[in-house]
Amino acid sequence: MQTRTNSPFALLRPEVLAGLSTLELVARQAVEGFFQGMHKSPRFGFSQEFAEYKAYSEGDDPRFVDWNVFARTDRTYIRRYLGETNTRLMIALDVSASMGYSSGKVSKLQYAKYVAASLAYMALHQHDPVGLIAFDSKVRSYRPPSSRTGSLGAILHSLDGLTAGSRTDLTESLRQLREHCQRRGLVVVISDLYCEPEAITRAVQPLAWRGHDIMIFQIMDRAELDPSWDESVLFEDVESGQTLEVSPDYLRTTYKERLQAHIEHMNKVAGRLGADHLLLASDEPLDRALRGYFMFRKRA
Amino acid sequence: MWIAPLALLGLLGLAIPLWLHRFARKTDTKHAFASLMFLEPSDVRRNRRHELRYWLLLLLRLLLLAAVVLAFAGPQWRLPVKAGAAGAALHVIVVDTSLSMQYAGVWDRARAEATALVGKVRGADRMMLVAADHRLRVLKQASFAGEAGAFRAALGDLTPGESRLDYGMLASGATGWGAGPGERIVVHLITDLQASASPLRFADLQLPPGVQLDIVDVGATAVQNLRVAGVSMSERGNEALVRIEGDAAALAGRTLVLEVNGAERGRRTLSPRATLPDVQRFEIGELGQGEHRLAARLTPADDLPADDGAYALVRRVQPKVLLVAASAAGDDATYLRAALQALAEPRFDVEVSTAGALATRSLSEFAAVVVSDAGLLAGAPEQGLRKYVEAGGAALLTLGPRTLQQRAVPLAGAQLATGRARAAGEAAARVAEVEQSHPVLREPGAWRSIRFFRHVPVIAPDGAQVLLRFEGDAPLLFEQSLAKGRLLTFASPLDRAWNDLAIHPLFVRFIAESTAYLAGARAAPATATVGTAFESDLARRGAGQVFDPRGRRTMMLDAATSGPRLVPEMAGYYEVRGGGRSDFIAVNVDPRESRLERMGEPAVKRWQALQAERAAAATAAASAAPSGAPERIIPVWFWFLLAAAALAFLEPLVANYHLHVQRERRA
Repeated sequence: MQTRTNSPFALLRPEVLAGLSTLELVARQAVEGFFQGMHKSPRFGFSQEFAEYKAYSEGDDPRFVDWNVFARTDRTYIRRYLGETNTRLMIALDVSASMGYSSGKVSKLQYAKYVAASLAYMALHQHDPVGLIAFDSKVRSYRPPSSRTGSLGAILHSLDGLTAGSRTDLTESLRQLREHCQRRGLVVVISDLYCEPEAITRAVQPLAWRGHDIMIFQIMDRAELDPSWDESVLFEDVESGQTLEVSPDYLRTTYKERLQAHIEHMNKVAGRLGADHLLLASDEPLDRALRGYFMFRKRA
Repeated sequence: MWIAPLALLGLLGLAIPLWLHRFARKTDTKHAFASLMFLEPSDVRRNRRHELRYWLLLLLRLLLLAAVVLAFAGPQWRLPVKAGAAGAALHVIVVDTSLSMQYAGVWDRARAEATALVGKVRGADRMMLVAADHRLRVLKQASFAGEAGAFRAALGDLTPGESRLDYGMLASGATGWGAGPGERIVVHLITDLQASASPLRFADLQLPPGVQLDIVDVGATAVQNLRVAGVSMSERGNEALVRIEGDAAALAGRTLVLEVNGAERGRRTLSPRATLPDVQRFEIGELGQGEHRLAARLTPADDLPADDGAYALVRRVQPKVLLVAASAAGDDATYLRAALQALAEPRFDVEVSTAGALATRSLSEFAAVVVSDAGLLAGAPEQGLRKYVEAGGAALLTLGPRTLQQRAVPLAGAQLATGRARAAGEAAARVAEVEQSHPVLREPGAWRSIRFFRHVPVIAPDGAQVLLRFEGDAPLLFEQSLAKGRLLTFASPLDRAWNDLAIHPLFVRFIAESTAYLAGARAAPATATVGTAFESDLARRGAGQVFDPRGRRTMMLDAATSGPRLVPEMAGYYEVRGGGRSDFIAVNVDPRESRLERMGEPAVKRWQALQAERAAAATAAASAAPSGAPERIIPVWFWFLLAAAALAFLEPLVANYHLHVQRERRA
């Protein structure tokens, strides 16, 4: 039974967000609810403090062209403010079959969409270009980073159309991402990370070497984190279709130990790569994800 | 060794619980899981305590099934027994329990000898106890010396009966006593060597080959016995005759008592100087109508009291016969009445009536009805007579000119043949075929001398037995059943214009015997001998029971229906109750058992020598042929059966326990 609470974060519960009709509403509800809880203005990071002029290049928002300078020098410069450095956000969303797993109302993929939508909403309100790449064994959808009007809608539309696919191939997918992200930025990987830590290293390390700030959200279902079975259970892998009969004792002991070791290993790998790793359960409110991003964003 | 090795195929059924448990243990329902990356197949036995209990249940079920299959396969364990120097032997102790063994002191010696024999059985030898009189009864099956106590107890309960032992019957029945391979059979016959027990042919004394005979003589050497050989009524019917046989030396001090229907009607002290056999006459006067029980007995009892009495039934009946004729003064009525009244025993009480009276009066008082011409019955009289016959009555029909006016013989239903009746002046027909076995046709030659000028040509109805036929195969006399009754039809009247039967002596005998037969007056009183099968009519009565002289019920309806043979085991009156009436059977002891003369010494030696030769020959043949060592067979299947019963008790307990645990877990 759900407990009624006055906490504003209660509105960030995934089962509450799942009741909203569109991802835009979900993102708005999540972000504004988050900042309401933080007692901060949603106009976060929109700094008015001038930082530098930068020669206009293709893809820059023409609204920030300093026309006065253009009039004086006949050159196009855009003004940059302190809060705008390194804010190109690329969301890499794992849509493999394992992400479709759900033991409750909200699947891991759905939760990942909420996180992605919220981050995109937050970033675009900061005028940061936001891009999206969805992948499983290959890239399923790609949208280059953009901060233009309508970008949010386009990204949310892309997110809305994503369904759980096949196997995960993180290395190959992020290799393709590297090809599209030549400029430094912020890369957020949202996945359940059912792969070997070395695969993560191989996939993410080149991005780190290119100067990208990387944040990894590892989404897990509560039933994966804390399986509770009284009797032997026959599991079927949603990706491979293989079946395996597992005893409850194993799930209570060895499985948990191995999963915990995997998570810790991922955490260490992320640390080695200079990336942030945040484990999220698909039944917990989104505020922890947003806070993690927020803190990461401030550091970046 | 297996009794039914094919039953072992049932062990294939062990796969069923194995499959069921495997199937049941396997989780059917698949649960989707994100990844099996961190999972491994589980060792259920190690990790699940309740699964271990399922294995216990599986084990129980497997053992139960195996035990049932093995029990049905009938395993036997052949245990080699230690044979002595002479080899193991089966000692068959046959105790003579015939009447003569009741002679003073004989039975005590027999029991002592049998008990001594039981004590002598040792080691691998087995023994068996058999009682022999008119049948062979195995009292104790073959057992080892350890069962000696039970044998002694059985001997203690055994008493001699009143029936007869025939050594020939004993010799022929001494087979199938279940001796093991290589086991000798030694028959210890404990008997009084009564000469009258010997069969007619000496060769009939031979026991089966290989059987050794050890005769244990327990008979008395000097015997004196007096017996009542029989009791009957005199020809005149006013005296009871009692025949006394035996040793004259036993006459002294003996009194003969005569009882009629349980009441003493005479007592006489026997003269020591009387010559035996002797017939004692008791004047008891005419006995009334009905059946009377006569019993004669000697007092005081001698050393063989069982033959001191004799029993007989005397039947005094005067059956009523209804003679139906066109006129009481007619020739046919006169002839028939004269013939019926000519019979001395039974004496018929003849009443003459017209056919019209049959429709109105009750006929149940008559033992039989004689109709001078069946044509008189046409119409209502036929219905009245049919009702009487079908209820168990009997009728004799003669067919005359009135019958010729009918299309079928009334009551008998026989169709008249299409041909014409033999006309006057034609050559007389004669009887060509006589059923001599029928009680009313004892003089076939006399029948062939009778000339039939005319007769009524009829076709014998289905189910009728033709007793007399003419030369042309036409029936003259046939018998048929109508429900419970009987009907005799004679296809010619007693008219001299039709035949000359009336002037032959056969006429009176035929009419009288036919009527007596139909009235059942010729049935002799029931008598039987102890140990001899007696055909009871209980089955025909449809219900009833038989009581022995002590009043104990010995036979019930079911037994009577399946085989109405009664084998009386004691002398006296057996009572047969059923079908709404009660009848007695007089049962006497076999007179041969009263003759206590012993077999001659040479005959006994010859018997033993004969059997010794046969046994030696059989032993030689057996030793020449390869044979296994004597073995003791232990029925292992019985223990499997017990184990199956115990497992069948445990299985539901364990299964219920698991169900209980599952319910709790689900709750």
